[in-house]
Amino acid sequence: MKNKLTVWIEGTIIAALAIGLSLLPTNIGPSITISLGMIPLTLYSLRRGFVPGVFAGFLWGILHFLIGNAVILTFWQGFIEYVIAFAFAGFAGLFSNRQLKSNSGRTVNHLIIITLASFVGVLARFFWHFIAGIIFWGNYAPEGMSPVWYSFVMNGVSGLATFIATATVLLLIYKTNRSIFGIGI
Amino acid sequence: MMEKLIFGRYIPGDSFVHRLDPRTKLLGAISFIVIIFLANNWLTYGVLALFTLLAIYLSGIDRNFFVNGVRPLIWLILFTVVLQVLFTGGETVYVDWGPLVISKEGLINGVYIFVRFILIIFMSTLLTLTTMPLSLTDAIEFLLRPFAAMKMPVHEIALMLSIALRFVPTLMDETEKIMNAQRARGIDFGQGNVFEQMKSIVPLLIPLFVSSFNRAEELATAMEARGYKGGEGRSRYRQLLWTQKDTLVMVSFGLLAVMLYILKA
Repeated sequence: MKNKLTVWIEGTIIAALAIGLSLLPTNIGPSITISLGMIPLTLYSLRRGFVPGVFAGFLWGILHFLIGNAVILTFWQGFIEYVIAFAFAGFAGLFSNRQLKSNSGRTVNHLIIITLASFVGVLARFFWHFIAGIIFWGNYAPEGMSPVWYSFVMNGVSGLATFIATATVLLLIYKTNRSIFGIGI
Repeated sequence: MMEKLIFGRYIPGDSFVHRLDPRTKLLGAISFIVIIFLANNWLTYGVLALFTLLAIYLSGIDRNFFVNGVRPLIWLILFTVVLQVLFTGGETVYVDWGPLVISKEGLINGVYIFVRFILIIFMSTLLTLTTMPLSLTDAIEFLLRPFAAMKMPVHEIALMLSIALRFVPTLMDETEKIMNAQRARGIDFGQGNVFEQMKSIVPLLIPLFVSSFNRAEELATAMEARGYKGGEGRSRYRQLLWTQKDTLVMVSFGLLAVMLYILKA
């Protein structure tokens, strides 16, 4: 029980950290939004696995509503972007510490797993932002403009930037302190 | 830098809206976002606008807060409106540049969409301005309760949300402390290209993660020591109280929906 509770509380604090990081101003480029919260969330998912990762992501999404940070313009867009999308960020946990542990010692494998986890987490989350974008622009884009393409470009750019940032930072963290990934816990 | 960040947007007050049950406000805001899509003529949008303005008036909160709520989204809204205006064809054409047409119908449509966005933002801003984040958590727990039958750990989710809310300011303080400590060691935050910036947040994140995980462990131990063992039979510190006012407000949202249904074209 004790260990289980620790896992959930860790996820909770990670969700708080993720929303806290999103309140930090990131002045990287004028229009590209990098979601810094993906860094703690991916790290936690790697550390604790898939289910805790999805749970922490879900909390992170709901926190947007509570703090008044959510951008809601239609019901389904709001629901998908804040209830579903963030939870899917936990998909990074598919490459959890079990794999990190089983490859213990082999740094190259670790680096690949971390990069892959960052990619899958960002992909799973931004897929839903992309769907929400199609729904939104499906309502508001004029005829002749493809909502699919527009949403793909907008979310693709943000997703790619977020992936690069997440993977870079996590790899640098791994280089300095690999124990926070849960290797050897 | 950190002083500018406001945590949550709650503005303390004792108005009619402030004193409503958070469940009423949450349900009201959600139903507003749904029923606003019934509106499709001047009359229905007028009714919605009056309803929103009345709600804002009853909250006793300065109008500027609502205008500020729109500001971060204004470009998205204007972009959408301009697209609508330029590409909606119509019978009464004012300007015709090949594929770009400004027609009476397009302009009217643009105004409708603009009003719709503004009203949605006003309503959701009203919700977060008059309801404490913690009270909203209680309301969300109530709304999720039906899902408990599907084995969703509703109580735990609500508890974890309130713990997370409790820790956001603490973590922000800690972030600031660590940033200052690392600045003293010569790290520049927010300087250089993207890669350099990412590199500079590593010495910020590592201590933050280590202390977060320690904190989690301590909190879990403290909860265990006080006999926490899940949701069954726990009493609560904050009680939600549904009053006649709340019923009245919910009825008024129902009436609004009926009215829009009758008045829409």
